Amino acid sequence: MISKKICLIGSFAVGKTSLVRRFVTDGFDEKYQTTIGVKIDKKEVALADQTLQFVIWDLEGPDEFAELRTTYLRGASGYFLVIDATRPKTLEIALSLNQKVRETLNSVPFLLLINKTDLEAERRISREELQPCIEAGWSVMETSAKTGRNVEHAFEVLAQMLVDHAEARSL
Amino acid sequence: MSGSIAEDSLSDGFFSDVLEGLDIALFERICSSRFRPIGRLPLWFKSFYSPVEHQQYDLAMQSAFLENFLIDAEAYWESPSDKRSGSRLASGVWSEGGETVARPLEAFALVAARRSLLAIVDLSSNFEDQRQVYQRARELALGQEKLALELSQKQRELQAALEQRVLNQESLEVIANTVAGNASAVLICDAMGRMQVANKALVDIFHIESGASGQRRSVLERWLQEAEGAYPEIKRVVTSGSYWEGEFESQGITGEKKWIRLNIGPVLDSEGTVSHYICIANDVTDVHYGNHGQERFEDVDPVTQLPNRHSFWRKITQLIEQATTQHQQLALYYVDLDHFKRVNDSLGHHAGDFLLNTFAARIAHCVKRTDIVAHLGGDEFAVVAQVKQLGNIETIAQRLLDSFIPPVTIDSTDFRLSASIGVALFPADGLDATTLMKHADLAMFHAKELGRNQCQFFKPAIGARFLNRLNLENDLEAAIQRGQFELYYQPQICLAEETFVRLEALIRWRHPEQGFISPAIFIPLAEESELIHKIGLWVLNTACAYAQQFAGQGIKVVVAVNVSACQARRKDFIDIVEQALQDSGLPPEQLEIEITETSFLEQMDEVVTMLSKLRRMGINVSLDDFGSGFSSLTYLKSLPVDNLKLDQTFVRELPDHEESRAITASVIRLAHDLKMNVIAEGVETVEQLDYLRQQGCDYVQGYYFYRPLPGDELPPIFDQIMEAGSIV
Repeated sequence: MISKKICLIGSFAVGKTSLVRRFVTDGFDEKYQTTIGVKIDKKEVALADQTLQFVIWDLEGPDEFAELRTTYLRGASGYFLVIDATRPKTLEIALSLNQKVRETLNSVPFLLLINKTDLEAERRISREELQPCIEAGWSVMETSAKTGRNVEHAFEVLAQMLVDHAEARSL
Repeated sequence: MSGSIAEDSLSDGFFSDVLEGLDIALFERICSSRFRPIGRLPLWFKSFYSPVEHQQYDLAMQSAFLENFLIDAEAYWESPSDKRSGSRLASGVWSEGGETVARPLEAFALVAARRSLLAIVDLSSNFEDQRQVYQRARELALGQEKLALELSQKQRELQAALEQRVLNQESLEVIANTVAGNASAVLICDAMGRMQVANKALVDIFHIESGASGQRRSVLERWLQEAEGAYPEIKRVVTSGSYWEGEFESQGITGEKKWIRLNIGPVLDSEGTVSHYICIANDVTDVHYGNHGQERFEDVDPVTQLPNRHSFWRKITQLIEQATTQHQQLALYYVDLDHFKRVNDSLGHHAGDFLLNTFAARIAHCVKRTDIVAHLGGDEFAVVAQVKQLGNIETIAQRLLDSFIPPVTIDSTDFRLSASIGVALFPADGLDATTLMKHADLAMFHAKELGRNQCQFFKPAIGARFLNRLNLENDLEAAIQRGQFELYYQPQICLAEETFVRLEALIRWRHPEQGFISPAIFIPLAEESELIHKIGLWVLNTACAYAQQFAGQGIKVVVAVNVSACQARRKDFIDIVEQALQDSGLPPEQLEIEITETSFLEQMDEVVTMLSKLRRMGINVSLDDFGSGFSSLTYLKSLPVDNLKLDQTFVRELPDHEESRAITASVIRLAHDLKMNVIAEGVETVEQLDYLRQQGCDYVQGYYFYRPLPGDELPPIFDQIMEAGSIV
């Protein structure tokens, strides 16, 4: 079975840990529990013709206490860039982080996840604001760790992107 | 894990003694992936990791985190330069084990007694306390972020609501009553910046003395001045009637420093002139300091992915500090896209963003990676380059201008934009970031004035001119009310017999301090600030009233009034003219509207329709400055005009200049073929007059006959004016 390291990157409190928990154990905790450092989980994803094992690095959201340590990204085959649909700042931070990540990982596949979309009334990042990202060729997906919306699907899509990317590179 | 362990003689026994009682797993590296424990291993360690053989551990195999860290550790152990006594390499914290048994660990690579050591430390004992600190700090930051978001939204809503009420001409007294208890500070100023409404919050938060009239005027000015440090363009943006919002540090009259979130919304009246400024402000000092540490992660502009204004400000400040100590020169390029608003308004924001994105990438390619390129917001970019050779400054400027030449394709349509660039140099044009930015902005503005699509370097004269211009703009606004405008009239002499007096009304501004100011200076200013509509209306009404006052004396005066391109494009222009005729009682055939060729450059169909209506009303239309603009003969035949005014640049060269003679003769012939009269401007000599008469020119105007005269000097010479053409 092929094992692939992926990372979840984004501002603090955007729901990275909750996305992993929803994916790995199908659980969700309403209470915000900040992550310190790195949490690593593993889970298999079945694709059409193979099974992939994800080694998921859930990285602490950077702020004044913690910076993104780019050494944690080493060897990652792909990543999720996660933002909170109710906080416009998290999009700015994600764009900033993405620059750093691209400098380290070059052109590995990634998905921009707009999390907390269950909070529709509080949503402050419109679909129009994401248009430049889409036009730049980014893959964007709306998720909710709370309801589970698109969480499993996001991991499957990233898995397929990794496989396609690996195949393209081997050509 | 600090302290020196550097003696060769230190033994495992020594380490065991030191480690006794500490919750640390210590290993010596045997080969790339094998580690031998030193001393007794803690129980928690054994619950996660198992030895592979001979009590050796393959830690990379058993932990994904350590596998990653050991790559860095390997490099550390191999690198002699880092093997300082007491140095170590930390992995950062990670959680080992499943959710229920997870332990926070941190690994350290170190060298002691020439041995490569790895220590793994269980952080559990203090971890929860530390996590709680982070948790609380982040929850606080989340709350502040939400607060800032809501505040921003509320300020915008309040500003928009008040703008609507001012537009609806609600009494300011009523508005003042309704905002009196508002938690946000509300300040409404007139166009001159004088305070009209100030609520209690403004007085309480910013210690504004509502009763002190001298200070009343200074509130907006003081804010503009303070904000200028971070936003050098703020005065230009606000005085040009655009909306602005931002945060800046303010030092009130008490000396106390506060962070202010301020929205300034100019209210434009039906003529597009600023009538009021509505300012909403809040003290965001707490929010600002709460979020201060996050600034470094808010560095990127989401549209262009370039550093944003915050980031740029920090970077340029650092760069200037560095350049000061290292005696380097810097060039700051302030790049502003020309007419970007039109694209944004006509194609929508997505297309606008796409253009910004494209040009951002092109600009970034014009300089080295080590130089700074930032998107300051809107259509403004900044580039800071280190100057090694003076010649490079212009090379980069040209490269920046050239980067705008290739078209950008949106939906199969090619779009071409240009940019205006202002350059300020460090240290020559400013020793700090604020001055440098302000000077680059002024130079950019100067480039716009000179026709855009060019680069201008800052010169002290530009700054002085801009200040003078700002003062003039303020004075211009008050000039109508203070009766500082005067109309002069220059006779137009008929070269055949005529029974009426033709005059062109020409505006003069008698400035109380600067004396007469040329229309060539203040009309373009008025056109930019929309004051042109008020001035144009005054000219029209005054000229009509002047011409009509002689009706009772049996003297027919035809008066020609100049109308600017932006006046001519107004939808209610016909109504304005009709009203002027009605108010004055002047018959329409005694009014002549003079428009320039540039009036047709935009919205030609609308302008032609408007002129046709004027002519149907009986009003004459003259095409001014013919020959100085695009002068398309193809268009000429379809323009509804009665007279062509031959530009004085041709007349001045008559009769000696062959080409001017040919053009003059052709224009007169063509005009007559199209059933138009020709009025020659700038006639100053008898030779010019003779030539024009020979060619059949209908009217002449110039100093040879009369200079522009005040209205009261003309009636005594009306008879001479009517006969002047037949006498000479």
